[in-house]
Amino acid sequence: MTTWQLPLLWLMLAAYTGSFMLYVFSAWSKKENMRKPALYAAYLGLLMNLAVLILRTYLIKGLPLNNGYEFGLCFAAAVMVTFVFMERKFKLDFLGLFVLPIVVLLSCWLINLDLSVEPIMPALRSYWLAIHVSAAVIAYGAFAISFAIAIAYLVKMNKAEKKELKKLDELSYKAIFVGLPFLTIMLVTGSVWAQYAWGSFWSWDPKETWALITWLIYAGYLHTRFLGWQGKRSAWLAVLGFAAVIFTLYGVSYLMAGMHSYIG
Amino acid sequence: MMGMLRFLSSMKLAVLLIVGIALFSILATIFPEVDAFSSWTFRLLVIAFFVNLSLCTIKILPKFWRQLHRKPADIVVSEDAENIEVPLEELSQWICEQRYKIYREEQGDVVKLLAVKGKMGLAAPHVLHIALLVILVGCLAYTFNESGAFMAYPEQKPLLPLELRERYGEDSYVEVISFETAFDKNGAIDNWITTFNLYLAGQLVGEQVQTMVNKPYQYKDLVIYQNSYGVQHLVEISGSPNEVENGTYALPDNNVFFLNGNHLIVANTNDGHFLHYGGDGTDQTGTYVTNGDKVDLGDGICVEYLEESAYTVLEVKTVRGLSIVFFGFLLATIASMLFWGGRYQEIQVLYRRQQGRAYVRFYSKSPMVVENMQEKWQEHWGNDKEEK
Repeated sequence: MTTWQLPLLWLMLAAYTGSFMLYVFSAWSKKENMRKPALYAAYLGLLMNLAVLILRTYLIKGLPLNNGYEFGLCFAAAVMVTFVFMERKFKLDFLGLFVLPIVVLLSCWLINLDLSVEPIMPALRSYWLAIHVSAAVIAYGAFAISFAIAIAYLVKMNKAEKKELKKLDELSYKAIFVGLPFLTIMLVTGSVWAQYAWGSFWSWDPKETWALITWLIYAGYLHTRFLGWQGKRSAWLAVLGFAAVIFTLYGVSYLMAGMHSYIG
Repeated sequence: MMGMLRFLSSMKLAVLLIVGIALFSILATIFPEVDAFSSWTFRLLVIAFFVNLSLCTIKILPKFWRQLHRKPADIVVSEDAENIEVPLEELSQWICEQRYKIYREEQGDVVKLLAVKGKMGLAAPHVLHIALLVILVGCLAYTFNESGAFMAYPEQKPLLPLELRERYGEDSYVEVISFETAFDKNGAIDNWITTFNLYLAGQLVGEQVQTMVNKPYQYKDLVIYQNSYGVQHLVEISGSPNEVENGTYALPDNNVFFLNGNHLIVANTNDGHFLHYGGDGTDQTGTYVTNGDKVDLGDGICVEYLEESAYTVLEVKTVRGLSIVFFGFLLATIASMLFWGGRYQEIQVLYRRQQGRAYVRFYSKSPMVVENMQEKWQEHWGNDKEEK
């Protein structure tokens, strides 16, 4: 059944890519009626994404949170679930245009990973793993959405009405407001776990340090809001924050050696 | 002086320090060869951050406390505030529907309503600030701990590292009873477990205790971690022209041992123990050996493979200050959950019974929240307030 993962992943990629293209076509041709098929394709992609996750759960007989591939699957699902929720609740029918590229790129990366089931190392056999990685999935999912909304803001800045821009600014802020507490929980649980597993709650490992840098950027974002920052400046800060997320997840794994090197 | 204090406790300085620490950390990961996090520049940044956070907390906490315990009598709503003619009960009901908790106080003709929402959210940043201060204090205490690692075979009695013996007494050691690899039901490695007795100053304080990955052994503030493990190959060398090379050796797995000017390497492979002799060790010539095998290496040199033995590597450290750090972590987690209570907001109402008119003021630290509150108010009461 391990081999079933790849076709499902291809279907997931195809659906997400199709959805993105429909969104692009809809925006380019200004045909509102294309948005519904785009959304249905996104649902189909999410369904495939969840199917791979369920299959993986069955294959590894546990929560799929043990390596980069499993994390990537959960991350893509978290981004899409949040997208569907935001799309429906706040009627942001253009949001797909900015969210889908994230999951398309993520799916392309996932397809190229080793999909085989390997036993996990003793250090990862801990209940802290589930809490730590779940918090990361939710936090990074929320930040991805805040990033997509911030990009939407920057793109629409000179065209959209003030009210719509204000709504985008507020939603990007809200997504960060949801994500940052989860990022804090991720850092805390990771530190406690590191103390038990490695004998040190903080080792300035590149992954840890970049997670802290991400936390600092978003903490800075919240503080600058109190200093009156909003709109364009906040949007750029949200973009910077997500760049830090991506670097923490992928840049560090591929470019820097460290204690978290197993996740790549 | 006051100006200096104001600056040191300001949010502007906080943002500058956050940027400074973030930039410094980025540079530190780009140039890992420089031990940047031990530098005085970084320490000064952290000290400045601690001072800023402390002063900010001291400045804000009394205000926060007053706000938390505010009574309707404390509110001041001027008569040029937003106002509307409406029955008090109808207004109260609408405010309740918006999920505000209402505190009410009557002073003759005047009724004062204080409607609040998001009290937990009000506490969250303060709890998080305190959590960060606690963590930083804990980290400072933690830096004064002693630590060290050592390797040991079963039945050996290695002394604790010197730093720890200085603290616990010279005759402090670990008596390793066994070291084993535990496997799960699928045959994969589940854990590495060392069973040992712990002696501090000659006294047995831990008998037949175990340490394993993710579950270290703790005795008061001394913790023993299963840090690592390794394999060595016991071999008996005889017949070497260089007499001093003859004898029994424990060769670390896949490491070079110089014998009569040549490389002797024993390495574990999927097919067994592979013994290589000669050259520089890069060629693949050699033979597989099992316990008791004797290999003639030429020039009269003979190597007898005795057995493979695993050793454990234990890390011993004191963890003073750790409970403070963990308490800080707990506070940070609580603060994170408090954030989900939403942002703090107030509707302050001064109601004049005789006029049947309510004067309303919206309050939140975030101007955006105030705007949203005003929008909701306008949506409901805005255009037809006179009728209402």
